[in-house]
Amino acid sequence: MSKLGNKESDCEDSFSFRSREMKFAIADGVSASIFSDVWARAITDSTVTGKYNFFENPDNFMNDLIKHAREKWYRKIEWEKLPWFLKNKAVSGSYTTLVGLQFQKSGEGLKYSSFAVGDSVLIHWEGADDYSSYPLTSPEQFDNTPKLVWSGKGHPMPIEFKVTPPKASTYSGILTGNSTIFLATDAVGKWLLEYGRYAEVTRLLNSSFEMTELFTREINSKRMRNDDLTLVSVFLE
Amino acid sequence: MTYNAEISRRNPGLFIFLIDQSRSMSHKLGGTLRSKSQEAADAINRQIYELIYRCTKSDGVRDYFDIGIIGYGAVSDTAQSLLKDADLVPISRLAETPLRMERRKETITDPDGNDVESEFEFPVWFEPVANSNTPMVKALKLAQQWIDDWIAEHPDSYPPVVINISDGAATDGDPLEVAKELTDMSTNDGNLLFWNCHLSEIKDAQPLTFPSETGVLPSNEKFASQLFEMSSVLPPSFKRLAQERSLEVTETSRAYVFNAGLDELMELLDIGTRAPTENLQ
Repeated sequence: MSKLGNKESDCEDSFSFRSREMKFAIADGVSASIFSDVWARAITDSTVTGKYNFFENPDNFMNDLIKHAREKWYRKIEWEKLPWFLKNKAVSGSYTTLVGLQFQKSGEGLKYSSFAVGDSVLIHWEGADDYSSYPLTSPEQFDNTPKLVWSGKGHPMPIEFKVTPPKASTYSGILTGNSTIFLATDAVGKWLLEYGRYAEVTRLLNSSFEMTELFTREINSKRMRNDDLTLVSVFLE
Repeated sequence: MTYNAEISRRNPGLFIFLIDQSRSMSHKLGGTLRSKSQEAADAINRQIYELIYRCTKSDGVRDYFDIGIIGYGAVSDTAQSLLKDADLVPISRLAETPLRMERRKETITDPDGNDVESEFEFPVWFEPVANSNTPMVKALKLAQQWIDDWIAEHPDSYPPVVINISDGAATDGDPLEVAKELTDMSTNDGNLLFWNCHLSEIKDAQPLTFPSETGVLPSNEKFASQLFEMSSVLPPSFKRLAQERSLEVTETSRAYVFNAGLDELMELLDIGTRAPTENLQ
C-alpha cells in the first residue's frame, strides 16, 4: 500500500515473482530520487526473469542484472519530453533497495538462497517468537542510510553506463511446512521485528482490507512509519 | 517538540522571500564587482530552484511548499508581490512559470570515469532591480497579512520561514516592531522563523555569519544591529545543520548574516531551507 496521504500510483515499492523458477524479488525505490518506481520495477523484473542462479555468489551476476535493469529503466523514460525540473533531477539517476529470493526443492522442504542490498528484509518465521532475519536483524539497525542499487546517470549520459554494483549480502535456509518467509520493505519490516506480530499478519493474508486497516492503525498510532509498504509472504501448502 | 511537523501536500510549509529593490542595491557588494541586486536576484533564483528540485517527484513538482515573493522599493514607497496576479502560490506554479531559461554548464562523470561538461537549463524567475527607496516596514506588514491568513488555514504546519535580503536602510520607519510581531506569529509547531541577509557595501568588512551578540557587529554599519535584532534565534535543528558545516553557532546565534557575499548568502539560504526540507514526507 502507498504511504498514507499518497495515491496508489505514487507507490515506489515493487514486487515481482516467477512461480515456475520459484524466484521472488522485492524493492523499495528511494523517494529522494525520481523515477525510483520505474527503477524498482525494472530491478525486480530483471531479478526474476534473468538467468541468474541465486545460489551462486551474487558478485557473479550483479553487473549483468544492473545492466539489464538499467536498459529497462532508461527506455521507459521519455527523456526528451521531460520538463526542465524532471530532466535536471532525473540525470542523477534512481536508487532502490533489493532482496532476491530463490527456492529449490530438497528432501525436507524447499531450500532457499537470498541476496540483499539495503534495508528491505527477509524474515524467516518459524512460529511464536522463533524467527531469523537478514540483512538487518533488529529494529535499531534501520536508519536513513541503507546501501542502495543505483541506476547510473540518466540522459544526456548514454544508455551504456558502467555502474559499480554494490556488495550484496547473502542468506540461505530451508522452508518447511511449519514456517513462513516474509519479504518486507523497511517500514513494515522494522515493525515486524519490533512488535513480532507475525501470527496476526499471517491470519490477515487473505484480507487486504483488514491488512490495510491494521497498517493504517499502526501508522496512526506512530508504531509504524508512514511509508510505502510491501509485505510478501511465502509458505508451503 | 517544535520544528518537527511533517511537510506534506496536506500540511505544506511556507517560504516568503522579501527582496530589497531600492536604488542603493545597485551599489557594488563590498569586495566584489557585482551589484547587491545582482547577488540578491541570483541567490533567490538558485534557492527557488533548489526548493523545486527537492519537491520534484516522478509525477512532477509536489506542492510541499507555498511561496511568496515580496519586492520593496522598485516603486517609491511600495511593497508588492513579485508573482503575477498572486500573493502566495504553490511551488509547482513557480516551476511552470520561469521568466526565462538560461543554458548553464556543469561537470558530470561519464561512463569511463572522465569529467565532461554537460549543459542544462537553469530557470530565471527574477532579474536584478534597484530603483527607489526602501519601504521595508510596508514589506513586513504585507508579509504579516499573508502569513496571518496562511496560518489560519494551516495551524499544524511547519512554521513559516521569512527571508529578507536587504542592505538595511528602511525609509518608512522602524521595522523592529513589526519584525517582533512577525516572529511572535506561530503555528502549533513553533514560531515563525525570520532570516535576514544583510548586503553591505562597506569595503574590507569581515563577513559575519550567525552572530550571537551585537558587540561583534561592525560599528560603522548603523543598520546591522537593527537587522540582527529583527532576526530569529536559530532553533536547535538549524544549529545542528550549521555545526555540520563547521559554522560556529551558540545558544543565542541569530539567523543573520552581515556583509554576505554570495557564499555566505547561499549558506544562510541553504540552511534556512534545508532544515524544513528535511521534514519532507
